[in-house]
Amino acid sequence: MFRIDDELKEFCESGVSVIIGTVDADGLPRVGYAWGPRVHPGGQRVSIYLEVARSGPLLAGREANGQIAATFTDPVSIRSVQLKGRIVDVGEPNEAENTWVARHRDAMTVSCSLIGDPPHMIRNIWLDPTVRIDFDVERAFDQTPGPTAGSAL
Amino acid sequence: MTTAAPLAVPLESIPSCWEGVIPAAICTVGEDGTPNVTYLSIVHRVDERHVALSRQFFKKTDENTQRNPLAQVEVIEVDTGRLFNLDLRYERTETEGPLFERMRTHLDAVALESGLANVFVLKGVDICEVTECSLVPGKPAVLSPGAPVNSPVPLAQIEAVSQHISEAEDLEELLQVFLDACRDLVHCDHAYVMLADETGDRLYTVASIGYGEAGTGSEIEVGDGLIGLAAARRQSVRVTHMARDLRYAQAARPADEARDEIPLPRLASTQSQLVTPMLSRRELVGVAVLESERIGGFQAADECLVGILANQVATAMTLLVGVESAGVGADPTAAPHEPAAVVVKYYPDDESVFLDNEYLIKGVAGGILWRLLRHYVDEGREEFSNRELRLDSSLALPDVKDNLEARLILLRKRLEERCDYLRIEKVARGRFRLEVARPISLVTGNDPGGSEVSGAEVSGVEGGSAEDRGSSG
Repeated sequence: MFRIDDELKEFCESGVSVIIGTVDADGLPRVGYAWGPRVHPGGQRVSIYLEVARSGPLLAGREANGQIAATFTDPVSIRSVQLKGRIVDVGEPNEAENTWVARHRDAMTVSCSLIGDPPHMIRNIWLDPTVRIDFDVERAFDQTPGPTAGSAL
Repeated sequence: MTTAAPLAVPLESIPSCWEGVIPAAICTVGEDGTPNVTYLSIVHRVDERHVALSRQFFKKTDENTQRNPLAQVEVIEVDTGRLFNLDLRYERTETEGPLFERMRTHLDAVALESGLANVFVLKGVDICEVTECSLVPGKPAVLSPGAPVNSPVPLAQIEAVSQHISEAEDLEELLQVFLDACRDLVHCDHAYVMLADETGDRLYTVASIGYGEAGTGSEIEVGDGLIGLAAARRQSVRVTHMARDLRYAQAARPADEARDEIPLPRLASTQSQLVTPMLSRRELVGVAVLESERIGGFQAADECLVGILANQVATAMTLLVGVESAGVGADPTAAPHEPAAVVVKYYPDDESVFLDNEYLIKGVAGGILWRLLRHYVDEGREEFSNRELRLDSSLALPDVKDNLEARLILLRKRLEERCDYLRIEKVARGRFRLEVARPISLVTGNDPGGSEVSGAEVSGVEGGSAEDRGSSG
């Protein structure tokens, strides 16, 4: 198991972009955006939120495979970290979680605006409602572009 | 032979997804079923069923695709925010050839743009078959304000521009036709042309549209920055989303410029840039630079169109050299007045010229101006021919492709920008007149105080005859 420390927790919960990868029931790779990353106390479990309308293919292999990869990237510094682990729960978010997701989306829009991405385009990417994915982190990798990309943390 | 089913979304119908404006996400699967997800710098559409992915430093992605050829990529349509998923099957990796070179240049431009020139190194290009392309559920597409509407290529307009290019009688007209075409056909309001100097190592700005400061005479080294990269590689460079680092770099540049450096034309907030080499028989004649304040301002079709026009202009330019004939000068008209003398200081080492201590120009154009003024002061001459300048051994122009006409345009524009008392006016094909509206004091600047040229101060009168002018030395 990998334990997320306070510094990495702060990074993961900031205005980063989050992309996830899963494997469907046929063994095919699936990719999509996720929102509202939240590191649980203890630093070993992470929640993220997917659009319900898009979650079908991304969760189709949960029973057969159950593995997930999530990459967190700061649009300004390009610092990037990939967490890999297993999905342990899927659930409907409550009101506080919806607020948390909205906070992250706003923060990411600000980050992207700093490098010139049009905010209206970013806002057009996300949808409601969302579904919560909880996963336990097993491994973490430095994904920042450069010769050390892919090295284990 | 079986025909594959058509893709749900044809790749050619979403051109802005292949511009690299927003990085694409890719997921691959390892042998043990572990997914791996990361961003891609470039997803390049090769044809209606294939894309090329940049292979840089994604060890796990590379490892996975070697063992499991399946991948999924998510791309974003920049003007609408719509997402599309591409299901891919890896076919092969290319490490050389036209596609590799094209993507390498593109990636180098991205690296320059983001200040990561030593980080982004293209190791190969992965060619993948697209087995499906589908729209991801999302909000209705909302077109960005000012977004280009995909319209058919205006063939009739292109033909008309081609005709104008073939009919242009001199370089200035030729360049104006080209810049007007950039505005009318590519809807680009900000563009300039830089020509290669005699050595082929430097580029200098000779014509522009749409800038507050025209930048005439500004120079860069071939190989320097995005413009120099396009010139050095003889390949178009299209940047569709200038990152913050570059904008900071641009913002910082004026303070670093030397006193005798003319800044390149620039917009307050350039977001897209298209740099196209102008080639004639594979030789670099110059580059065309188009800029936009809009993200994704230039697309692949614009690159093709500008490339066609740029090469036609380059060919026409080389044909123009040598067709000038001696013309007859117009009769001068007198407009005498006696304002204060302007000090023209000349530094032979780099042929730079200063007017009342304000930098004007250097290099060949500076040398030309100095010789014209010497003839004007010493002999009272006002009319000159391109031919005599070509034969002037002190200018050291090469026999072929001497760029003389371009230098004269450059000199004329710099004079128009910087003073109101010196003008170069065309009087006939291959002939021009030097118009001087203030007395001139010529000084060479090799020593700190400068040394005045004998008989240098002349009461120059615009259009006046030699007899109308007095001289005092």
